[in-house]
Amino acid sequence: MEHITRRQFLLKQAMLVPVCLGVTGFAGKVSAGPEPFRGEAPATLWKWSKQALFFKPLGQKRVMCQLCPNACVLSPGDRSACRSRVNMDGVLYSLTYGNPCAVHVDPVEKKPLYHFKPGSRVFSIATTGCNFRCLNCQNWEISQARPEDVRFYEMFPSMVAQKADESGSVSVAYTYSEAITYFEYMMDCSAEAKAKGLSNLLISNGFIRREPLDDLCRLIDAANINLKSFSEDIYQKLNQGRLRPVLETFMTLNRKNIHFEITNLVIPGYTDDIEMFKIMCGWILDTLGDTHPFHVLRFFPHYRLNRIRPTPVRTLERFRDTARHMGLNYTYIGNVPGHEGNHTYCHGCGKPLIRREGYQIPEFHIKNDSCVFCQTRIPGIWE
Amino acid sequence: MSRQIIRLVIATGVASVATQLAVIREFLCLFAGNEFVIAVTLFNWLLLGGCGTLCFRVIRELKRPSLEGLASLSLLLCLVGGVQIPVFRMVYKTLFIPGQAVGFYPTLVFTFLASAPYCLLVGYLLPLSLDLAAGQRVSRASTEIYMADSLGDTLGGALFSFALVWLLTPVQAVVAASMPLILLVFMIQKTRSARVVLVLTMGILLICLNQELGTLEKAGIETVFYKETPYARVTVHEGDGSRTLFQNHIPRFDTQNTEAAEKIIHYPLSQVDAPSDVLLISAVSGVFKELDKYPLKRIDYVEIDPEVAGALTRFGFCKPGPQVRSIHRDARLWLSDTDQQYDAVILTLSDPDTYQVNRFFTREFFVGVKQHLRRNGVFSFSITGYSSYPSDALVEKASSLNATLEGLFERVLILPGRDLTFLVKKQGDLILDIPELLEKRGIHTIHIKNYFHGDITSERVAQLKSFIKTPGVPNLDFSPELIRISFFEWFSRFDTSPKVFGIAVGILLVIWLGVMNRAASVLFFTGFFTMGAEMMVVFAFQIYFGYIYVKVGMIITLFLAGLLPGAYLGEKSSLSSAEHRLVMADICLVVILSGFIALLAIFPRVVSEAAFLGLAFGFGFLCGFQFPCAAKIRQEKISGITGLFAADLAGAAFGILIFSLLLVPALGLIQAGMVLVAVKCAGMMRFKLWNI
Repeated sequence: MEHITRRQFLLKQAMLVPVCLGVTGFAGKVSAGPEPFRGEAPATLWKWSKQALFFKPLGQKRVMCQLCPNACVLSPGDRSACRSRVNMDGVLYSLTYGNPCAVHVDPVEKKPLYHFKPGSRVFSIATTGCNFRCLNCQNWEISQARPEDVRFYEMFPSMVAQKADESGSVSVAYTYSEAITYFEYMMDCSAEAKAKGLSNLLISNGFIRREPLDDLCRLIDAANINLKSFSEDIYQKLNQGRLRPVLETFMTLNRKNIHFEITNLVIPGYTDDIEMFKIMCGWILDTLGDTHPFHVLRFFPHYRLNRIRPTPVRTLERFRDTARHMGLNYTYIGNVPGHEGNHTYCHGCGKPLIRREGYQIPEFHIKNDSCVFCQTRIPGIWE
Repeated sequence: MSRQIIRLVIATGVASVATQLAVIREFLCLFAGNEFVIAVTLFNWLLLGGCGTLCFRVIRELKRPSLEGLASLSLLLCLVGGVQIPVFRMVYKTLFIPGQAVGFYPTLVFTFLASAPYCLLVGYLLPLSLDLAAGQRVSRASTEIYMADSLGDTLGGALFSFALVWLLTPVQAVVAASMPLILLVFMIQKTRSARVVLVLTMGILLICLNQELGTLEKAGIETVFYKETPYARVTVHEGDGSRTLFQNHIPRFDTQNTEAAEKIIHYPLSQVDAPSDVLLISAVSGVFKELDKYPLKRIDYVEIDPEVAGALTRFGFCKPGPQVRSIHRDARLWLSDTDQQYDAVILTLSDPDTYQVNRFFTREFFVGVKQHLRRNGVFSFSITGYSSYPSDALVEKASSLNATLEGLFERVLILPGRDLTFLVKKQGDLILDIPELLEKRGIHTIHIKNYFHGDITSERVAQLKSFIKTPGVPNLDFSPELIRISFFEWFSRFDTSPKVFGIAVGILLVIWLGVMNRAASVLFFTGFFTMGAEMMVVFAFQIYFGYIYVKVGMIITLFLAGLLPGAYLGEKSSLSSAEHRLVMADICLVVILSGFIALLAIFPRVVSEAAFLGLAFGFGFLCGFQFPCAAKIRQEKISGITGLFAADLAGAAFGILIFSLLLVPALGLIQAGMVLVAVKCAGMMRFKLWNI
């Protein structure tokens, strides 16, 4: 007999009410992952729509998207859970190609990437769409929107590279919403950027299947992957996502020798459990090694998760100390202006190598990828 | 027996209104604390009350009513009232993800189901009392019961607004208001078994009282301060070296949030050469520390809730210096009364997504601010902004605020970011490079110095400017554009639409109108009209005279108090036929509201405080007057009177919902009032043409 918890039971009972009333929207919490949108594809394709690179025909014109582990099965006229892909007559298309809705030039520290060309400027773009449903999303206006519902730019990959170059940026970042959902656009932009000598940065939740990630790894230079927690339950509850595929992404990036940094948002009541954090750190050390910078971020109430207090700084300090003590030498505290946990210290001699004041770098003591004081090699891409 | 029943009805009125107010406050804490939730809660409450009344028709056929039965149900009412708030909290925690804001539809379903037991019971008790009291004098008894109910409601409203809310916690208030009813039940129930049930009920209520604090949202840490104030539930939580002050479960102040204080203070003050006098409307943690970096002579700090101001000081959120004058008044009222001139007016209220807060983002308020600014003075305020992309709703809000400021101030600068900050100046330039301004003055900051240029680039400022629509729709006192936008934004945030609800309400309305009889239809439209008019009076009063809890409570109490003499006079009057009196009362209602609308639209400043109070009483009086007249038309049957009670409640339910959620946001206050008049006229026509 299937075991259900008290909460699940109550939820099932409560679900009956909106169903009876013909009311929708109450059930968001109980589904295992985001569901595709049935019959919500536009009548015709947008002019720049591009055939998706990863999908599998299933017969009767149904397709399965093979881009992320949600593996949406779509009938003709359906839209994927990430809202970016539609099945038109048995072919999967991406609707976001060539139409970013957010275009900015940011400091690389804002991503955050602390061990990648510090102080450099990053041309940052995003289209709509996300394969998660994070309750605290910072960019819900675009991550939870359909491409046709936002204001957007006409910017083909060649123009992205050109604009990035003109802006004095050294990299192009695929960021803000979920970059994986505009995979085809990201791939073509990355190729154009690379041809211009620019780096490519993936800022993502890491929820991607192995095959597309392998392809992407040929083009990206660095990544920041958000490890939201180390619990499947919390992933499901707060993000409607899954942990396991994200861990696999980390392993793939590690195997491919891509420079990546890990962020972890410490949310009071959810991800501030020190025991879970220790398990997370242990996994990182055992599986990925001690060279990947690790950002422990302060939570602020936002979007739908707006009834939780900000993370106490002392909690973050304890987490950082724990991670460093376990061997994660480059653990940083984020979202706390002026904190000493923003600086980089040499794991060899302990001296400060990079002093960060917000987005500014008043001190930088790394030369030839090494500490200028003790010549210890510091992991990262510095020039 | 009749006297005992009348007493029971009065005591039920006292208990039910106090419980209703306590429950609304609880729902405001559990769900979004806006007027939409109040409207939905009242809608559910009134509609379920009407359904409870109608249920009596069916159950009466099955079981013969008795006084003991009435007493038992009254006791059950007290029990449900006392138990429900702790139960709401526990079920809420079980159903919803802790810390998560809940959208419209879950709010609707939860409040509907949660209110159902109590409301159905209250609605049921009214016709049951009437049935017991009536004998052969149905019409007259119905008026007596109606008057007794109105008296109880008035006493309950007054008791809660003027005493209980100031002194007790929600469950304590509900139990205290239920005590007269429990006492009456004790006097009626003579059998041993009934007394045992009564003692058991008291025991359960005592357990609820004991466990009340334990059911509060704890945020997983120590609660060092808890106070129910007339304005909100205020709690301070402490843990791991930081403290957070919550208002209605929303974190508002945090001892470690230095970034907000820097932005709020230095963005505006950096624009003024030598600021000396500052008006601070509300605060954030650490503001006075940042203000201390300027040689200021006077800081007027206005915080309406003295409990909040006290907690901020006591728990180290803010430490006001000697130049700070704390003023615990409605800031708008303060500004209209003082002659003081300021170099900076800094508004740090939450987003204008309630009528309450919206009053500080309207052109009328901005005009007041301008009058108190010195020549080079600066005014600043913020709304929640964006990280990378401003949503359409945000662009609309920014456009509306820009249009509201335009023409009043010479310079307007909008800074993008997670907070959209508006800086406006009467005269002189506004400079974007705030870090440089601060550096020149030797003012040290952490966040602005190091993050400003990464977050607020000229490209982002220009981009936002290009999104602003001109001409935008200004936000006015009587035409709250920001409320309209916030309403739809609220739905979009939860990926839902109000359409489903609108259609469901529409269908329900059509069905109700379809099954009503002639006399009931008058009371339905009167309920609709008076509840809408009551909301109009409250909104308009707040716009003119500020949010004064006691006075708003007084308006509502006077409305309830008006029902009593109205019903009395309606019963006694024999000048003309009941039908004629109904129509005359209708005409009076229409004329009074039309006159009020005309005054607001043409001579707004003529309307005095006393006029508002008189108006509330007048609407109550006419509403009460109509009930006995309608009852006389349907004098032959209890079921007919039951239909009148139900129609009155249902009309009020639809009135509050449609007026608050639809008419005011869509049309503005004046036009919404006109629609009320039109609806009432249509109801009157319907009544007159019924037999033709």
